[in-house]
Amino acid sequence: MVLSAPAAEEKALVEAAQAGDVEAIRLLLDRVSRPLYAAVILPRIGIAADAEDILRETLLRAIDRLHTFHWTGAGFFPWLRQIAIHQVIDHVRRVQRRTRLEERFERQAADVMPLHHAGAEEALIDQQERALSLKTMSIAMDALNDRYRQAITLRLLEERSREECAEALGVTLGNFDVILHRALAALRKAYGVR
Amino acid sequence: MSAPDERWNPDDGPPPTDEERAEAARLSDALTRPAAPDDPALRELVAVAQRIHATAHPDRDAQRAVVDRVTREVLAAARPTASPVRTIVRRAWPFAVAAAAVLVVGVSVGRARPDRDRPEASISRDVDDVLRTPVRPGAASAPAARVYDARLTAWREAYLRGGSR
Repeated sequence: MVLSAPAAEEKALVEAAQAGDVEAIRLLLDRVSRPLYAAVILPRIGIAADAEDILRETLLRAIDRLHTFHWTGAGFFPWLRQIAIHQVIDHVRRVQRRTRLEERFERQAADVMPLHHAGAEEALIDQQERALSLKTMSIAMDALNDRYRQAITLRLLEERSREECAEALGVTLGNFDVILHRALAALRKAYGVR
Repeated sequence: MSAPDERWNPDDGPPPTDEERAEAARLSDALTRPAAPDDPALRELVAVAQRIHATAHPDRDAQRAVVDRVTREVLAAARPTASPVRTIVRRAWPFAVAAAAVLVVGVSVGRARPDRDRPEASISRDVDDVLRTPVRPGAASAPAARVYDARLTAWREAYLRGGSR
């Protein structure tokens, strides 16, 4: 199979990295780490400090297991993404009481669906992964009742103040807090990841 | 502007308990703080809220700073583990190629240039030459050898005459 120039370059980088070339590893990680963190890990974890730990563990494991990577047409990112998703599963098992999200994560980890071609630009990877996250979020939001959805939209998507949100819903600040609390609890059940 | 309704709206579910109100207030407070709360239940809800926020409003500068920092740390801490076979192949292939080249050249030259100073040995003998050479008793001649020599001489003469034994 004839590789495109970016894919051939990525393949050469992977081979050099597998041979122990630290500069090649750095270039490879530079290419994929930002979309991995911003569009894969953070939208699935939320807490920035936890997401940072997962990114660190993912990169360390990737370097440690680099010699097991076999080149496919999809390139390096899907392999790294799968490691990240497994790290997310481990994190969910540690910190969450419910197991429903774990099952979803496991399905996602097993579901290898390369979104990107080998050698894809960072911006393209980021754009496609983010589109997936937005779609997942939108599906989860659609499962909420109107008032809950409105509370989340106003407070988190439109970033309005509590006062503005309470006014928009026609309730007191205290009641708005309760609505938002219930809305997030409902969303937690509906909000899987992909 | 109308005053907000102090009463609980039944459309928003059953009326909250005091405990739920207190938890909702803690969540509201936690959402405005940078550090995640320690309470696991509260932390889960904050995580959900921040997942939505990170998806809808990515803070690219902050994310880039995190990734750059982590990548630097990881590269400084980790030493890549190449597979042993791969390492051996990578390091040894120039020597293997050189050895193979020397072997091929050596065999080719050896076969193409026989030693000119040494006469070429024949694996065959001229039968007639052997038969025409007289048999002489040597220093080790013994009666048995002389009998043998006599028989061989007779056989040879008969052969040279073209007759039978």
